[in-house]
Amino acid sequence: MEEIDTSVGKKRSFFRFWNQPKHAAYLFMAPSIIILLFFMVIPLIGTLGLSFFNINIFFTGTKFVGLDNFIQFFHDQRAINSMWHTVYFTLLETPTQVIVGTVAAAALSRTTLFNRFSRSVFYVPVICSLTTSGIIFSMLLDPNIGWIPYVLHQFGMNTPQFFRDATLAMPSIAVMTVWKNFGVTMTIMLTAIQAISPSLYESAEMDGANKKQQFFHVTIPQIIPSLGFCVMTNLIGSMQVFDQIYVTTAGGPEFKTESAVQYIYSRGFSAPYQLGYASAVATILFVIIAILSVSSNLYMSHKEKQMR
Amino acid sequence: MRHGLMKKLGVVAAIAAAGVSLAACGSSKSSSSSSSNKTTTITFWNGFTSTDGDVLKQIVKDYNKTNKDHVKVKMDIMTWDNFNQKLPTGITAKKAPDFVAMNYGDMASYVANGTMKDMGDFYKQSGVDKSNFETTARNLGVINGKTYFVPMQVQGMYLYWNKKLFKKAGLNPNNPPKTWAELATDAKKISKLGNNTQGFAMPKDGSAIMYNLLQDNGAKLLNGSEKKSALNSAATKKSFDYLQQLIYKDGVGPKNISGAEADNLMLAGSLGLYINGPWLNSGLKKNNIDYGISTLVQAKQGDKKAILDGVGFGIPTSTSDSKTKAIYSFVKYWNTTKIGKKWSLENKCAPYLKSVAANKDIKKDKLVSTMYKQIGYAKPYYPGNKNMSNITTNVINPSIEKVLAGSNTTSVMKSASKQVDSTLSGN
Repeated sequence: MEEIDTSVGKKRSFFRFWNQPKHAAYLFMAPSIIILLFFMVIPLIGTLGLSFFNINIFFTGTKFVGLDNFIQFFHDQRAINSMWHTVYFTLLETPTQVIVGTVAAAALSRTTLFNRFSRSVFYVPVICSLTTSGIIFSMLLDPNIGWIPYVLHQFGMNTPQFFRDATLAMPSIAVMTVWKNFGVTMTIMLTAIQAISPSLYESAEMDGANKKQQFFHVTIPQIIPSLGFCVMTNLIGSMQVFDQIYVTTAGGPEFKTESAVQYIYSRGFSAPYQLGYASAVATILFVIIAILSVSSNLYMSHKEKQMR
Repeated sequence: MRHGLMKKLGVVAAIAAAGVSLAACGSSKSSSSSSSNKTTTITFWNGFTSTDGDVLKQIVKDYNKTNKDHVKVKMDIMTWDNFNQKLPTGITAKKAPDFVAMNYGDMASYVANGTMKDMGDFYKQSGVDKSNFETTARNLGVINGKTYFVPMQVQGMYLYWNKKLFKKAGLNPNNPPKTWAELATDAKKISKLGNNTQGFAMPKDGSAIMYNLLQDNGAKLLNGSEKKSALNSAATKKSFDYLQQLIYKDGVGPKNISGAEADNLMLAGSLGLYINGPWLNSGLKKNNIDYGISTLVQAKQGDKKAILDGVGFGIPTSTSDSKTKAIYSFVKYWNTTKIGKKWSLENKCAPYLKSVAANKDIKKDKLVSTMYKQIGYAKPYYPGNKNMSNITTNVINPSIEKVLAGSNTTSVMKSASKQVDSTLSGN
């Protein structure tokens, strides 16, 4: 009898413990934490561990090499180039997407039938996979069968080679990515813009501010936190660019569009299957992204404080 | 102990990293052996995604229905790219299929890492006639004196020409070029037809064409011991110059085109001359292209040089002995005259079994018999060299791209030679 009472008591105290909001919060977070742990934290630690070994994908001939893989990176021109291509892509894609998304959000912020329709249309590419978008753009821009080169040719223009041209390939991929993703930025900015108190615009109007001045002196300062969020997420996403390059150019022509992630992938998952070296490059990329993310976050926080 | 921990850590990281990209490729394996009906299910991966895949499916279906060894083959067909990405991770994660059909160029690195079984005893099975296999075909699967792969298909690179475009350009549609020089002359004439017509296409990933051209011109990729590059030679320069002149300077074909894109041009009827494997036949027939196929062009008339390539059956070391027996049953079925004939005729592939080659229907088929002629003198290219796949992907293909884009051929050759040396030394 005593034993039953103890068990019921234990159960009650268990539920009471997890019913408290500060404890229940952990339960709600648990699924995300478990997913993060297994798919982010453990692989991250595993990658760091592998980077100190000369190891192939079959785990044969494993040898501890210390920092050799990291040193090799600085002598590997193709690896360094792939980092530069990634930075180049990020510099093209991130600002363009944030600007296009913000401008589109500002233009469509009033709730009219046309604006609602336009928002839906602009969001459609987001739900397409990057692979599908890549294939569509590859066909559209193909110099032999593509519609866009055909139209340009009809206007008497030279047919650009787009994905096959060493200079045009990366900008073409960046444009495709902006087209594909700006709907997300637009939606975030739209929410931020719609949350701005109309009284601020009324005051600005009474002070004689025109639309352009209202945008730069009322809208922008008010959406700095969302802007910061978009810049940071786009930055991280751009530094990890892979799918669209894999589908459209596969890193060519002449490795001019090979991104860091693609290089890591080709080193680790195709001949010569150098998993250790690929892990070292992945670790370096991780550090670069971390530095960029923290810096951009600090800069945006500083800017936010300044605006207030 | 540390090695064990490292291995586990590595498996977790590799699988997690590969997981996202490979998740879309479907389940890796479903193999079971049911004791109640004594059926052994064996899983089989390969990359026959084209119309040849349909023929393969039919053969597997017939085998599953008719074999008396109680074996069921469960096949997973994927692109060769996917195959080469999934198999290494599958082997490491112990999720490899029971057997595979693999391109000969990729085999050596698997063997070097001890992931493939010795299949030498296959030829000792009752009902298997070792002497019925062409020796060159059988030797494709021999690495360091051991048989790791049994032939499934042999192939080479052949010359395709569009007869309609030949006629339009004033060329004899029944007289294809015999030498690389004649090919250049004919290609130039066809490219002048305009309307987006191309004379000849050299894909930027066309290493198979490049290796044939190098061999024809007397250039060598590796030295005798295969420990150093032999690329730095006048013959290599001559080969690079030839391609650059043809594509970059004379503009007889697109400058930056992949193999798949070049295939599409041929299939669309807007390419005059092309060099490719037998798999192009079915698409050309389907698209009603009036075309011809002949043995590969040579450096000079009368030469007989070509590279022999193919696909072979292999068994990962993780496969149990009982399943190996079941796999041998299927491989034996595959290497019968009936199946060999079906595969050759329906896919337009050269036979490698003497009994198939002697068959009257095979002899009657113009395309197949033309291709078989080449198999007679073709030789494998650095067979069993574990670095070939790496050299092809990371040195030769990028070099082709540079040559076609107009880079200085001497510097491309020197740089490629250095890279080959670096690959061979393991850096």
